[in-house]
Amino acid sequence: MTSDVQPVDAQRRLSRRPTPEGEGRGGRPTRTTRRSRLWRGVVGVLALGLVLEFVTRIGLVSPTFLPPFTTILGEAVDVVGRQDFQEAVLSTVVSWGAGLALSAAVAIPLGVVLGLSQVSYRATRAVLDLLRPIPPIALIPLVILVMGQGLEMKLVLVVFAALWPILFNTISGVHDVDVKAKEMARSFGFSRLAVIRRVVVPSAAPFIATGVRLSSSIALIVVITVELIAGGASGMGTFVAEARAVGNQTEVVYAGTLLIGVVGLVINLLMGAAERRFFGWHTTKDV
Amino acid sequence: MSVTVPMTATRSAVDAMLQVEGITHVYGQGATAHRAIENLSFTVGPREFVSIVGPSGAGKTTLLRILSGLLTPTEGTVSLVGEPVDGVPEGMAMVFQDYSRSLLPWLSIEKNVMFPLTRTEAGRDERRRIARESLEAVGLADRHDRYPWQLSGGMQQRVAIARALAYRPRLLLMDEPFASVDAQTRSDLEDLVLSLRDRYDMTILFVTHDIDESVYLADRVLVLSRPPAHLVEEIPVPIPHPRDQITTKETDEFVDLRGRVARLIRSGGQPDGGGSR
Repeated sequence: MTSDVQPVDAQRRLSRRPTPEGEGRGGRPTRTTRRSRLWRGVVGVLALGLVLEFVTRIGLVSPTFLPPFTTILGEAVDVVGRQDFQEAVLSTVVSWGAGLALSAAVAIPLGVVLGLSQVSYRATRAVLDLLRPIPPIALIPLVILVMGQGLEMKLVLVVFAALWPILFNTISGVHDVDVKAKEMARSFGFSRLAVIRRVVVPSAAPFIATGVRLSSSIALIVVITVELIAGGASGMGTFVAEARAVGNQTEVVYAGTLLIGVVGLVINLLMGAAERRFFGWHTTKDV
Repeated sequence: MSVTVPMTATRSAVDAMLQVEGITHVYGQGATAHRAIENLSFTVGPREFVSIVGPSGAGKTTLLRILSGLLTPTEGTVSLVGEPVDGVPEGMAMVFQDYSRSLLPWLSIEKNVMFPLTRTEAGRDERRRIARESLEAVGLADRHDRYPWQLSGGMQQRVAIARALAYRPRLLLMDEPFASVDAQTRSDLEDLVLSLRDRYDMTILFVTHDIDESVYLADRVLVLSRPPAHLVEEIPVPIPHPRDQITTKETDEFVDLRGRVARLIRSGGQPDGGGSR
């Protein structure tokens, strides 16, 4: 829904434009436009469901490949009620949350240091450029070999994948901090460390939050992928993989896949809402 | 104002709030070095309002950065109430030209004003009380819960002034503070600063490139030369207070003084032969 991967610079420039007294946040979508956007989304989903239902009911597609949409929905409701599925959701969400938190805990301080110090940035640049293009999935065999198939293995892979958006957004956020704002704080006698804490980090926070939101999607993708192909302890990916392997349950596979999508959507909506709630001063306009 | 002074201090240091002695600043080294300031000395007395004017690029901002302790001069010393300035001194606040960049957009107006106080020992309630009082002094008490980007440019600069006031400075440095607001707002802010000087018992050093402004506000105008900047002339402004934007500027005295300052700036430091001395 919130496909707001707009250039971060553009957001920044908008926020710099002084808004005339009384006008409030310029260009902010009102409640009604947001609601009508939600309605359009719902209509789109319903239309897709109708098309899927139609093509299977008239026999255009074999139900072995694609069960009718209503069957999938019914199966999904059943699956949600199953305890093994609920445990799988919990396991996936815990891996996702822990992985994201770890990524942030590593990437934000590192990003602040690399953003503030040209020397350290140049020194680490080559290492970062070397590591970054490695697809995290390609590391699965290595990490399993070293760490086994538990939560640690999942976390290492999630952190490796989710680190980058947070790290690079933090670096550019710190670069973007206004020299005048830092100078102001220094002129009031704040120490360099206090300036980092009171000015640099809050000022870069919207960039960092955008990085965390991007990383959250990546983290979920990696968690599910690892569960699917590496068969970690448990999780929604494992659930779907087992439904496929054991008993050829097409509907369950579809239902599980659909529910993974729902979890992803919910996570995205929550992250987007949190970003708007806390950084409204920065993103005065969201598309 | 009671001022404690070391016994060894000279007579001039006793009288000075701010003493600048032989400041020279050079940016860079070798062939590309730029001499911004050359052997500049002056003093500012307690409760005095001093304007600094000069041709653009005359190193005025460099000078303010040195005075505020953000930049160490190549040579020379700065003393605040007899104490040499080494790093950012206490008791001094700065108002920047770029209000939109020096206010913190994630903090409300009140929190922005409280910002410098978070370093002091004042408790939360005390900080809030001081912030409210400072906002009241600049006529923005009712906007305390707004955010900087919700205010006009003139109001944002009032917030920046309130923030400086909340710090209770003895010396207020102002770096072309009204250069980017409209003429009417500028006049209002000028009168506001004059009234605040009396109310808060401050010494003010005001850098501007506006000649009328420099004369209207100040007790004394310091004219700087083209770079490397040195002091061309100190011009006392004996016009009595309270001053008025219209009637003060009509007086012969004002017209004469502004002409003198303008000629000095135009000649870039060479005394102009045909001046109205």
